[in-house]
Parts: sequence; structure tokens; C-alpha cells
Amino acid sequence: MLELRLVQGSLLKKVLESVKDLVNDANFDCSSTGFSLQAMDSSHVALVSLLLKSEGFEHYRCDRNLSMGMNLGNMSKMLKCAGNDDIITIKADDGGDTVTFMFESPTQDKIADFEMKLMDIDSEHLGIPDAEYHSIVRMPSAEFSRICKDLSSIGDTVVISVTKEGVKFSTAGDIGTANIVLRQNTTVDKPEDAIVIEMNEPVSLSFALRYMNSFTKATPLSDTVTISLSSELPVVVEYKVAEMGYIRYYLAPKIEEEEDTNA
Amino acid sequence: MATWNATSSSSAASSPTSTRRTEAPRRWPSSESPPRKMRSIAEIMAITAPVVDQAQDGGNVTVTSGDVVDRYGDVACEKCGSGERGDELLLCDICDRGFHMRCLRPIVVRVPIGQWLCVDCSDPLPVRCLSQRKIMHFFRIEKFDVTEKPELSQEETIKHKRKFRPLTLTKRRRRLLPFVPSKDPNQRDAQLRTLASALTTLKMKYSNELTYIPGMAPRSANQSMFEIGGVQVLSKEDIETLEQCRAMHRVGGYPPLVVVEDQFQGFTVEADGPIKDLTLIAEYAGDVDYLKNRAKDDCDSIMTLLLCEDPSKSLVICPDKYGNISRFVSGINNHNRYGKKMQNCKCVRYSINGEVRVLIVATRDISKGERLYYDYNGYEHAYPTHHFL
Repeated sequence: MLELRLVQGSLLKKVLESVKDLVNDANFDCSSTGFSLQAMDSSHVALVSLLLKSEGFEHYRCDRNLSMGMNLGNMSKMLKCAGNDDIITIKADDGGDTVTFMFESPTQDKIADFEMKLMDIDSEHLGIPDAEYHSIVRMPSAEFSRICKDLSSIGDTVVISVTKEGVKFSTAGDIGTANIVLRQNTTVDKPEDAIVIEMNEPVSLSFALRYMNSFTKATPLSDTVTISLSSELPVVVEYKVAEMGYIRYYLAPKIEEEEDTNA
Repeated sequence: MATWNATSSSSAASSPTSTRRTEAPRRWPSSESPPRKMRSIAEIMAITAPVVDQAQDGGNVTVTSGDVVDRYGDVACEKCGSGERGDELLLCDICDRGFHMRCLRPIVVRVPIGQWLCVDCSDPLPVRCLSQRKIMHFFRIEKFDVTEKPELSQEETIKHKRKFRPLTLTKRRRRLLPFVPSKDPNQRDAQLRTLASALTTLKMKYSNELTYIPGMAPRSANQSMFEIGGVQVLSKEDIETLEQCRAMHRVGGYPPLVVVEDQFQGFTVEADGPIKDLTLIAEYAGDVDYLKNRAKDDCDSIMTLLLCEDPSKSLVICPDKYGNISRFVSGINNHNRYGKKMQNCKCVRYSINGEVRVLIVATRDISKGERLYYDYNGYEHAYPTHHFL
């Protein structure tokens, strides 16, 4: 028996909007730790890992670990029917093949319930090792979203370089090139507007902008975004979900072609 | 000094009897030179040298700071050609050319601390050819815990006896099923005849397992531990299933398949009866040879067997002298939706008793009459190894 009650229903709505464009079908795993999801996009270049901790729910009952396979597009259609202030409850029976979403308006005068059929999805879990990243950049999420949008009008690949001067986003395309440099800036009125760059080693990596633009769909979830880079590792773009957990996107870099010695 | 004066005057005032007038306070001796008379500005102007007007000179004034004579007085920005705004002009530490901070792309906002090199002197970055890596290149599939399953399945059976399909548990583990041969003996004979005639056409002999011919790779070369990252081990239950299938072969039971000749695809394999999802259809049989011997071979049924760190030790299966029905199964490219729909089985490599073997396993329920198609690129997804050939 699974029953999760989330007072700030808008968080779940925003979470679905952040993943539905990247992944079509995925398994939501429920355990005593929380409600999580790990899925790759269809091209196997990006991975999204989501965790909503059980402590963040007003009521969290999960009798046994279960995996619910859902079509995220359909789940998003149902969640769009919830108001931003609604309280959302997710219910499922062990052994059942459906999941129910219940939306209660804050004034308790409107209650809606939506039932969705679950899917059988055979997905493999990837092991993500804890790593020390060469550079970690924290910046306002709106700024990052703007940078990705602006650069994608020029080129399709962004080169992110972190040096002691700051973090540089560059791209090149048919019409020309573009470079955006951000320097560390902690003297701001609001802490969420600060740009903090922690550089243990300089790093420079190339990524496809279309995935970055999918990741920035999570901007409504958090004022800040943390970008962790390491050479030869996927970049981690993390948005914290208010006191509940996080949504982390991993994107494999584009690496220079190696000489093919095997043939 | 002030205090000294005060006491002297007050003592004078406080003693009405004394009318002695004190002298002017003597200055306390100071370390400075005695006060001198100042000269007038006119005198000074008369004797100093005239100052050179910078603006008139066209900006070529050398700035002297201390003892260092500046050698870079003539430097101008390579981008805009002007020598103005010298405080914004960066000099490359290798070629000594000048660049205004604002003329550079990207714009340099602050004077760099330490060494600064211009674009041409910086480490050369040739135009690169970039290839997009897959996420699985970096993150491996988590090997599931076999010990977890027995506990869960017990719970599962107690609670869910009546339920037809429980919500799946955290780690899906499905065992292989043995194939079910056709019941009608005449049908079985007909199936075998199609296989026999196909093998004869290709001048091949029937063999249902890997053969190690002298001159090609020896059996000792086929060790799963040679592979980078290892090969997934076939579980005990699945080894039993494999043994069951081999036992069926010995008494004439074969998977319900026929070999048909198609004008476009050549020989292909069709199901002659229903085959359930996860059925172990056949083992990929053939001669085992080193990959390097077959690099130029244009045989269409070469199957990867072992990928070693040392590519000269990598092995492939080449069913050109010996083989079974598996060499006739067609492959499909799985990178488009059309291919994905057609695919109904996969070739999987397993480590059985330390050796690597390839099994063809059904990936969904197959009905009678359906052609069998496996994914040419299947192994790349299951095993994150380097791209091969």
C-alpha cells in the first residue's frame, strides 16, 4: 500500500514538467527513503535522477519497495489538472496495476481524483559513483537558462571552461561565435543571486546545447543551479527541490575523436 | 610645547609677588633643520627645466617607473592599431605583442595575474572533431544482488498468490525458459529438413556448439576473465535451463523454427510455433577464431565472442564450416523505430564455467510465422565497451 501526501503540490507539477520532455516512460521507485526516479533519455546521452525525500511529504506510507512504471507525458497531463495550491496525494495498492492522483483544493471544497494505468518498464539502474569534481559553479538558475537559450541561437555545442578567471560558455556556428564569461560574485543583496565558483582544477568540456535546454526546464524549481564539472566525466546540473530533495541531470560530454587503432 | 608654555605663564600669574616677566618660550630643540626662509614661486620657475607636454608628443612618452626603463613604449594594440589606453594594453608573455583588454575576444575584464598569452601563443586548439559519448560509457549498469531475490519472491508468493501481475519489485530478474519443440513429429522433421538443406547449400556441417579448429583459436583462448569488465555470468537456474535444452536436442527436440529462403534477405529463420518471451532459442554455434584473422572476412554471420584489452586476442564466432540454425537468423539495425518493432530476439553473451558463449534469447512473445530478428547493435548497449570495428 502506497500513500504519499504532498501539501505543496506545485512541486510535483514542476518536477514532471522538468522530466517529461527528456524521458517518455520511466519507473518511479518508492522506498522508505523517498520517492525517486532514475532514467536515461531515449538517446542514452543524458540521465535524470530525482529524489523527493519522505520527510518532505506530510504523510508518507510505503509498506514495501515498489517500482511504478509510468508514461510521464500522461502523468503530466493529469498533474496539469491540479491547481498550483492543491494538496496532491499519490495512492497505489501493492499488486495493483494503477496509480491514483488525488488533488484537494486548499479550501477543501474541491476534490479531484485521477487514476492512471501503470506500465511494465524494464529499466536498468546505473550506478553513479560519488566523485570529487574538478570545478563546481553555483549560479542563479534563471541566468543559466538565459545563457543556454542565447547560445543555442548561435551554435549547437557549448564549451564550458572553468579557469581562475571564471567560467566561460562558448559556442560557434554558421553566423559567428559567442562567449559568455561569468566571474565569481558573492557581494550581492540576495544569496541566491551570487555566483560562486569553486575551482580545484581547470576544466574545459563540450556539451550539446539541446540537452542543456531540456535541463533548464527545471528552473521553476529552484533559484539556484549547481553545475559540477570534471574532465572525462558527465556534467551534473542540479536543482534542489525546496527541502525535499533534488533533481540531477547528468550529460555525457562530446569528446574528441580518437584514432581508431582497432581496425 | 604647548604644555610647557602654559605652566610657565600660569606660574607667573599665580604668584602675585613676582612681577618678573617671562621670556618668550624657547623652542624645544627639534630634529628638523632650523626653519628656513621659503623661496618665491617665481624663483623656482626660473630654475626648473620645462616639462614635456605628453599630448603634443603624440603619445610616445616612455613611462619611467623607478629604475626600470620601459621598452614597450611603441607597442600598439594588434586589433585596433592604437597605442592609447596603455593601462588597458596587455602584452603577451611570449611574442610581446600588445592587445587592448577590450579588443580581445572574449573581452578580458581584469588585468590577469601571472602569465598571459595571446591567442596565437596559447596552446594550439586545432579544429576538433567531437563525438557525443553515451552516458553508459561513464556509468555502469548496477549488478543486481542475486541474494535479494529469494527473500522477495517468498514474500511475493505469500501475499500475491491471487494477483495476476504485481507491481514490479526493485530489481527485475527473469529467468530464461527452455524452448518448446513442436508436438507433431512430422512438423519437427520438416523443420530439420529445412535446416539441413540450408546448411548443405552453404557446404556446412551441423554443430550445435562452439568448435575450436586447429589453425584458428584454441579453446584456452576463450576465457571470460580476459574480457575488459568481465562478462555477465549465467545464473545457476539458467544453466539448468541450458542443460535442459541440450538434453532435448539429444533426443531430437529442437526449437520450433524453419529456415526459409527469401529473395531479398537470403536465408532467414521463421518461427514455426509460438515462442514465449525469454525463451532460450539456441546457442550461437560456429568456429571460434581470432578477430584479427577475420578482419577482412566478409562473411555475414560473424558474431563477437570475446573483447579483450589486447585486440589481437579478441575472438569471434564464424559459422562458415560448422554451425546451427542461429547463423541464419537475420539481424536488424535497432536505431530506428521500424527496426525496434521488428526485433524479437537478442544475442547475449554469457560466461558459463569460465568460458564465453553466445545465446539467442527471445525478447518478446513470438507467434508462428514471424521472422526472427536480433539487434545487430545489441551487445553495445548491454555491455559498455569501446566501439568495435
